Amino acid sequence: MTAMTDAELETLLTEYITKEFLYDKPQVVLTNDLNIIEQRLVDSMDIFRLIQFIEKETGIIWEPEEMVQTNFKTINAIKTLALKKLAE
Amino acid sequence: MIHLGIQRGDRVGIYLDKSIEAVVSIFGILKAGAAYVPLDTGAPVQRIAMIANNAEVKTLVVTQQTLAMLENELNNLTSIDSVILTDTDDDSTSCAKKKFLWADVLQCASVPLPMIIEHDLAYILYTSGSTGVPKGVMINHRASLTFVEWAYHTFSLQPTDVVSSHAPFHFDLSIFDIFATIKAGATIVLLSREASLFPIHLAKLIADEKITVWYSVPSILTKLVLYGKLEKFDFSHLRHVLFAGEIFPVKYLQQLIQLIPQPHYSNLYGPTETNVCTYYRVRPDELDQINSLPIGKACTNSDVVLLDENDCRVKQGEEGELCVRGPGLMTAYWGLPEKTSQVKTLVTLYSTLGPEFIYRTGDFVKENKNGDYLYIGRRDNMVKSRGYRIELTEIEIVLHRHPNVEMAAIIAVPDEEHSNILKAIIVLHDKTVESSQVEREFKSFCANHLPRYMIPQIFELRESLPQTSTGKIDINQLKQETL
Repeated sequence: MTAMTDAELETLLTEYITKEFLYDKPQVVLTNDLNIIEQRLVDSMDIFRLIQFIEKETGIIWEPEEMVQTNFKTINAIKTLALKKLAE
Repeated sequence: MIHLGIQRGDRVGIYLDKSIEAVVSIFGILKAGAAYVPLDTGAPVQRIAMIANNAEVKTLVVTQQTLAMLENELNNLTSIDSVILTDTDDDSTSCAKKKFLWADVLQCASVPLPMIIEHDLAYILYTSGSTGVPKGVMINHRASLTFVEWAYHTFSLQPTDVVSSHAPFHFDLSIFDIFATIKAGATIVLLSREASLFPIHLAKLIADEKITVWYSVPSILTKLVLYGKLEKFDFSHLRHVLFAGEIFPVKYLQQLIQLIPQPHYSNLYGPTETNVCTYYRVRPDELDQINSLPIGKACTNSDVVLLDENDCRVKQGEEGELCVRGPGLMTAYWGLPEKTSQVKTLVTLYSTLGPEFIYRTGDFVKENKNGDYLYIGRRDNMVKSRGYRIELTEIEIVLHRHPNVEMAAIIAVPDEEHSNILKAIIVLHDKTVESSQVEREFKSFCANHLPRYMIPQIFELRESLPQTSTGKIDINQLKQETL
């Protein structure tokens, strides 16, 4: 796995989500607490692209049980779990 | 609907997320003798406006949110004279059209219903069009009922069944979910878009709701196999698992059957223009010996033939274009007589019957020794991604509208989980622009015109594109370089 700081992970996620999912939503201000699922910023394919992107960039392997809304709803939620897994 | 002035043959747009109000609207519209036009709440507003304009929608069923999304377009939609707001009792919502509230609509007194016949239009489903504009597939009551009757009997639907409604209502898989379920007096479970985001959540829903008949595109089932932890849940209620819209990789189907062995698995095939015209009941013990799942045999009341370029039947085992004859065919593409005549043509298949209309699917198919049809490929530029039909030309046309695009080609890169991933290969007028800068720009540009599933994921810039001797872009060469 790739060692990564909180800030590095935040930048990685923010840049990816902005580039891949927000290109058609210029009005959206992406913050760490913005619920990307409730705000309908991602569809089922997007979520898997995001999951696979994080795997590729960090070496994290997500367990199916971890692929739930609570863990992927905000940048903060993703960061929390990802940093925990990176520290294991 | 009749109280609101809706008459036989009128088109009523449903611009709602999947909901009980959307189902009620569908039946209200049909009972009034009108046709419903389901509109994708996730599609760009410009595309919705284009469809509403094209179908000359008279009334639109909306929520406050979808109405607000259309606000800037509403004045240009001259055919629309009224909207029905389903989610508010507040009369103060501003709107450029006549406005009716859901509660008032529900309280209207009963009126005699028009005596519609089977040739009356039931709905128009819009699909990707190769001319750059979506095509409206007109389905009348007869065509729809041909499919519904077949499905109801083939899968022995019972009042005790619990049927999933996974597909959105603008997708033709929903016809089974809504109408075959209602015919059986069964229960429909409306699954929201969010329900499909996480496979483990979806698996739990299927188990908790005790769903007995599941119907979706295969890519959802693949996700369930890979990430759904299916072994943790009780699926003992499942009787049938139906899938359609794209090819289900055999290895994932085998894994699914291993995890959930007791239901019958069926592959349903048919473009929107024919509803479903063939199906294959999976025989699990045969899967080891096949590379690709057959599309099976013709459904009841559908005649399926394989024709060569001279409209002659091919011999058994030879490839031919799958053509369909029968009452399940679309009436036409709305307002596109030329397009219609390219695919729905008069052919004499039986000399005693004379010329009859057949629908040319554009799918090349052959028959195996069991009499099952096997899908080989397309003759045109159409691909499937997550079950959605995509005319690659429609995307190219949109890209060509961008002022900095000199040439553009779209390649579908096969992907087992999503069936295809779209890649755009572009030559710019201004070649000094860097590729990192253009991707967002082009995605954003496409998003103004195309639904999300049609927006290329990958953009590649080139100095030039290979050309054939006739000066066309050499797609085959590009494919070879890309794949």
